[in-house]
Amino acid sequence: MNWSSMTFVIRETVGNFLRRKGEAFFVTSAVTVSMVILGAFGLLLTNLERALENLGEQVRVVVFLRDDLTPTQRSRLEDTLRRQSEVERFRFVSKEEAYAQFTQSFPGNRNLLAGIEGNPLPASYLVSLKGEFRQGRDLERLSRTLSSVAGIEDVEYGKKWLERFEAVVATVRVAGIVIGSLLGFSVLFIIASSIQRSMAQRQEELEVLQWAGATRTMMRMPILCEGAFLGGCCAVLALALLGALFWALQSRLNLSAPFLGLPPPVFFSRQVIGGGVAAGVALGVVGSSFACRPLSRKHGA
Amino acid sequence: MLRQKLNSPEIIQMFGVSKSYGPNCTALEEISLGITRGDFVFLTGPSGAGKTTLLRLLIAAEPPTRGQIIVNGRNLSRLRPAELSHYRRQLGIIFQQSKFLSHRTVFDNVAITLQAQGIPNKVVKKRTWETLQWAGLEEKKEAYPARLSEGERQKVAVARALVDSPLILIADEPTGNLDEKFAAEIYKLFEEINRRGTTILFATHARQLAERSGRRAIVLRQGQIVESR
Ligand SMILES: Nc1ncnc2c1ncn2[C@@H]1O[C@H](COP(=O)(O)OP(=O)(O)OP(=O)(O)O)[C@@H](O)[C@H]1O
Ligand SMILES: [Mg+2]
Repeated sequence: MNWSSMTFVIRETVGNFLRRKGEAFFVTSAVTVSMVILGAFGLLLTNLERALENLGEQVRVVVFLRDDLTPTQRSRLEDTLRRQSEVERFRFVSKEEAYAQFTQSFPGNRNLLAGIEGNPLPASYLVSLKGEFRQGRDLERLSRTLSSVAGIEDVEYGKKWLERFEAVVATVRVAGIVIGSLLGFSVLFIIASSIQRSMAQRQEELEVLQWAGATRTMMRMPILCEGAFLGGCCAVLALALLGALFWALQSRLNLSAPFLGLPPPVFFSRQVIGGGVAAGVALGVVGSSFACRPLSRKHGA
Repeated sequence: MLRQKLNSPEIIQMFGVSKSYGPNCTALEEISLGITRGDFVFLTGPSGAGKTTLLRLLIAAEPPTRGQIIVNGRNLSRLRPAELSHYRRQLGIIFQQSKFLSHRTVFDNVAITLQAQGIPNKVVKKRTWETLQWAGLEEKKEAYPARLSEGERQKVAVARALVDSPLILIADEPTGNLDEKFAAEIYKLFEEINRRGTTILFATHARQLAERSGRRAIVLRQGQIVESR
């Protein structure tokens, strides 16, 4: 393909697209809507996973100690903690520190403890976990191991909460994959059938090109370009719509996120945006190459 | 034997070519012929004789049921798909009913032959313009095909077929529905291009046209050659 054929191909592609305004509009909106839904799922998943990661960083196992813990028991407990492969680091919180933290966190409730003689708060170990073990399963296993060690009063972690959140993320992920592939196929189908109709309308042109000695590449190129153009345009449109929707909702989300203990929501990164447009183009090319398969048979090109 | 065939001065050769569409429909039967390089040959015969079929085999629109066709030293049945487009670039083709790009001007419709071959735009413009002048179409170059008369449209088809000075011109009833004046003009264009070296195979059921010209005529009837002088 040289410059002359390229300009021909580009002119054909744009001309064909513009000549079928009505259908182009219908197809563009159908594909764009599908892509917006697809993108919304992606965005939701991105943010949920980010939140999950963020929560994971906060995941700690709190090991409450009995007041009558002996120094030997304590050092044995520390050895046990050191031996656990899940444990990243741990920190001892004395009874006094716990008391100070409590009164600091809840200054209004100081008299809550004042009525009680002495310090009712137990000493504890705050155990942080390595990244790959910040999951409900691992937390449970660790807490079971630790519960059996002598001198331990109780082991606590945000089990229910974390597990539920993990379940939500997993569900969204599965739903995303299912809906995503369904929408992907329908986009492919819409593009392919649109290009097929476009080809039917251009039967005469294809015939003229064929007898003029156009190569197979040259006959297919405008068709593939039309698909790529359609897919790319729809992806850009969908991302723009999604972006507008996101910015419109963002101020509200930003306000409510801290209350839920979630990080502020983010939009797709530049790489993901680029990848999305590339995926749109790729869908268009694949869809239109389905459509121009009969070409080689019919025109012997 | 094969070498002899390939080096022959005959640019088109057919050896025992048959074409049938189903068991009871034989369009061509055992056709053998040779057409000399640079010749201007008429292919005549009544309607349904198989003229269009023969031309369609020559442009590799479909394969023969039996037999071999050799054009400019190449056996058409051995052409690979990638070679097909290059083979067709050597041909100028005019159909009984020519098709055009309805949304393109006459100029673009003629230029497409060159564009399809990836010829640089500057050359395309120059050659197209020269051909339009030569065919007497310069005033119509901005017109759209639908607005042209039948005769003018056929002239555009001629210009499109000849703009790249093809080795062989294959024309199916190019003057079929035209009045004497237009038919004569187109015939004159053919004679001119033939003088410049293009071999011409001109199919028409108007036998008197061939006879008047005094040129070689191959006469088909019911798929067989009944006369070839
Ligand atoms: N695609 C096809 N399927 C079936 N039969 C066909 C096909 N093409 C041609 N034929 C038959 O082959 C025979 C020859 O047809 P052809 O078109 O070659 O005739 P022709 O000499 O060009 O006639 P005309 O002068 O009317 O154009 C006819 O009987 C026609 O019905
Ligand atoms: Mg015919």
